[in-house]
Amino acid sequence: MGLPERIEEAMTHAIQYLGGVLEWEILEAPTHRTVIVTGWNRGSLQRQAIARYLVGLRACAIDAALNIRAKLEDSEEDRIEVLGNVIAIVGEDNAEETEEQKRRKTYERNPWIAEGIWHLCMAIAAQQHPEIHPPGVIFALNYAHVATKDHGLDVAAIYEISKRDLFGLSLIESKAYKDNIGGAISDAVGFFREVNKRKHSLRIRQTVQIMRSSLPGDKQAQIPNSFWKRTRAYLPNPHYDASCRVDWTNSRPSFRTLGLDGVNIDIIVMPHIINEFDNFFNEIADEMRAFARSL
Amino acid sequence: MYDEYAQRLIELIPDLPEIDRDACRRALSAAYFHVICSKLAIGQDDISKQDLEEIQLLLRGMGDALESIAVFDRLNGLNRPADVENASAFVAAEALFLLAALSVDVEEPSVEDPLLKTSNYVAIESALLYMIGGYDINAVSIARDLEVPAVGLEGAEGIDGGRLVNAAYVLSRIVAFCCGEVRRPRQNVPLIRLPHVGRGPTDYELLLDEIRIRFYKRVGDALDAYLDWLGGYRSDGYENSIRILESVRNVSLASGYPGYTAFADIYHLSSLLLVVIDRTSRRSLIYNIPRPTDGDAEVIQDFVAYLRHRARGDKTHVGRPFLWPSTLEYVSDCLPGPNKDAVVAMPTGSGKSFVAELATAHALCSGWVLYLAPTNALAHQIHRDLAHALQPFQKVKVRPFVGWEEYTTLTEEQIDLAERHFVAVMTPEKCALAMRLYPERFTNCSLCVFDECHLLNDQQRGVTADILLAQLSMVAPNIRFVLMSAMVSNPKELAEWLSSAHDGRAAPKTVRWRPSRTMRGLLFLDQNALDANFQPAKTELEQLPERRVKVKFNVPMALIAGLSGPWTMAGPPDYREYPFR
Repeated sequence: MGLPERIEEAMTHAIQYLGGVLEWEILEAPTHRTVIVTGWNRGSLQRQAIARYLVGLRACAIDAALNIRAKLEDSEEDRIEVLGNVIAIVGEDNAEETEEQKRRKTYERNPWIAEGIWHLCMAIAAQQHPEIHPPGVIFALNYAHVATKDHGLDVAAIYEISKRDLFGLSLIESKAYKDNIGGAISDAVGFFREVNKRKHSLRIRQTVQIMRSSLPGDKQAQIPNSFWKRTRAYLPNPHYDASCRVDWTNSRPSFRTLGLDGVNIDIIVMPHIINEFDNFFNEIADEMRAFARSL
Repeated sequence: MYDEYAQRLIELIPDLPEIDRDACRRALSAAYFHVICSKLAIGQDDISKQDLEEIQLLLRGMGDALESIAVFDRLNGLNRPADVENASAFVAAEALFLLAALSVDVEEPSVEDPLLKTSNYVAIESALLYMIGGYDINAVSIARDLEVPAVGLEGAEGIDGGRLVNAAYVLSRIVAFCCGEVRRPRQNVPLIRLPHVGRGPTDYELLLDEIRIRFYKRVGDALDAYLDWLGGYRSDGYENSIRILESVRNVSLASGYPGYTAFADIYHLSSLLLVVIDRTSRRSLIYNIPRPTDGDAEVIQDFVAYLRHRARGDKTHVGRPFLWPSTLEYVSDCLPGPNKDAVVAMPTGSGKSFVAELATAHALCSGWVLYLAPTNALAHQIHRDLAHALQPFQKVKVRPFVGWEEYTTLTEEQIDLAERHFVAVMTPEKCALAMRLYPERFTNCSLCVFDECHLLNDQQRGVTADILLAQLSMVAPNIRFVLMSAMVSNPKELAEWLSSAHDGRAAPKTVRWRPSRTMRGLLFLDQNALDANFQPAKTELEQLPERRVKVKFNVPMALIAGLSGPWTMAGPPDYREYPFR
């Protein structure tokens, strides 16, 4: 089996396996809904599946880029160098002896892993369990934002609103703050507020048009209407240590500030509550390196 | 508050859920006036924050949805009628442009790559959409404001430098395209090519940059090819540009990797360019004017050079590579030949003179052209413009007949029978005199252009003009007429009259299209305040020494203004008053 096939198989397996073991609970609050998905960290099999999916995400992005370059050059595609690129994200090891090592783990590695896990979550919602994404059935999901120079949005999904012949856009804003849930929500709300203020309108317009091409032909015609109706879902996705207690059924006044007249905005908080936050990210990183070395 | 033509475009946009076209039009108008008032520092507070947000929301919906229809529906195989696409493009351009103008306070992260700067890209987007909609002058005004970084090859070190050079180049080509600058040589840095980096470990971020350089190179090549085609330098330029852009679009889509959006901007830009090139190519000057079929072979041969000359322009005159909608209709109906008479009733600045010039260039192949203008001053200007425009016709001279002497006293002012292909520019009175003296010299006149033809209705001069047209149709058996005015309200009747008086072939051309926005306003005074304050001021003045001839007093004023065209009649929501302080 070639490298691309092995990666594809690992990603498919991760979606199927985790789709079978994850559990979720939907909570209602006056300002939002909450979907708590659990089971990511029950044992090494789950962590392995997550790690393989994350390596696959990175490898696919590189593969896509190399494929593009080969087409632009009319040359053969280069081989994917997975290990070096995985290490570029998660580091050689989990050491945090220096300030730089600490900074990279907190501000680069963990956020990237968190975002990748929720990409996986949305992929599971799209392929197996639509109820994980209450606003509607996901039809298209972009690649996770794998590089700062990647021009796309972080994680975005196009979903169909049943019986209305409309599509909506889900924007997922992941934050991996170990013990600062308030800060995570506040920063995510800050991003969504920027969306409301049209700071990201251009990127949304560009991203939706390229994602539109992967929709079934008859569905593509609904995009202009959907743009017009401006239906969207904001999904703040805080990853935090289980020692922090939050009652997600309480109102969140900051979510009220995200309302816009004439726009249907669904706010779905998707917390990822992690037992032993630091260990979890370290173990995922270890599994990623191990899988990358095995390729 | 849009003019009749623009309002028709707004009516043409396709149905969207619960769309209210009046609300769209009002949102566009209100945004436009808010922008103008902000610039003039008047009446900014007149619109509530909530109203402004609602307007911005509508504009965003319009921009996104209608751009989708004008550009992406067609590329995705969901074809719409061309007029619907044009209308959608125009309204999307207006919405995006106004939205950007209303959002000047939105903070923008600093980026070096000029194509990744949001304000630049939205400007490019609206300019290109205006081009699709046929509003070239709006596109020019946006493109001219774009700042193209001055980057030389020395700035092209490394991947970052290379990306910057190529991005600046693409931006400069887009500006050139929107401004119709197709003339060679172009003062620009050549696009950077990258050697194949080879196999081995790949830094993903570096790879993205490298790919971007290659994409920019291709887009720049495509634009150059198209500009060359528009300027008549390369006949395969159009096909090449489409081929390159289709390839860029397909490759940036990353088929096989659905959801890979790293180059969503390239996909978007190449899609826009594909549509704008397709649409503007259909109104390119060089390729959409039929060639003259009859007449002098040498003059006919020079016709192609003339079209190139006009498309390219020169150091003193801008090029004109695109036909405007107003001209297209005349071209398709009346050329080659002209093969019928026409009454051209178009607003000022919408291209009447160019219609006359094209008719002239055609008619010169089979005879000489009489160009009538109501004043000597206008005749001088027409002579100057035509003499420059018709330079490529080696056998053709443009002669002004504007001397103050009697017609017969100046030999250089006589129509020379030895010349077969020339343009004579004069007033109707001057021409009437010549007609009385030398009617035989008009036999070979193949075209009479009558500028400001509403003169026919003038109490004093109308009779002369009327008789002159009748005489011309008698003495010149093959003559065609182009009657032009911005002030004729009954072009259809005039065309019917011309048709019955001549040979039964006359068409009214009444395009109400304008190439850009024109604002028309009415400043008015508060009558009660005027009445109340005038008398005391007058009394004050009378008590002052005689040398004093005026005193000041205040009267509140207000402005009611609209984009040119009839005021709409849908009531107060269509108006906004601004007090002047």
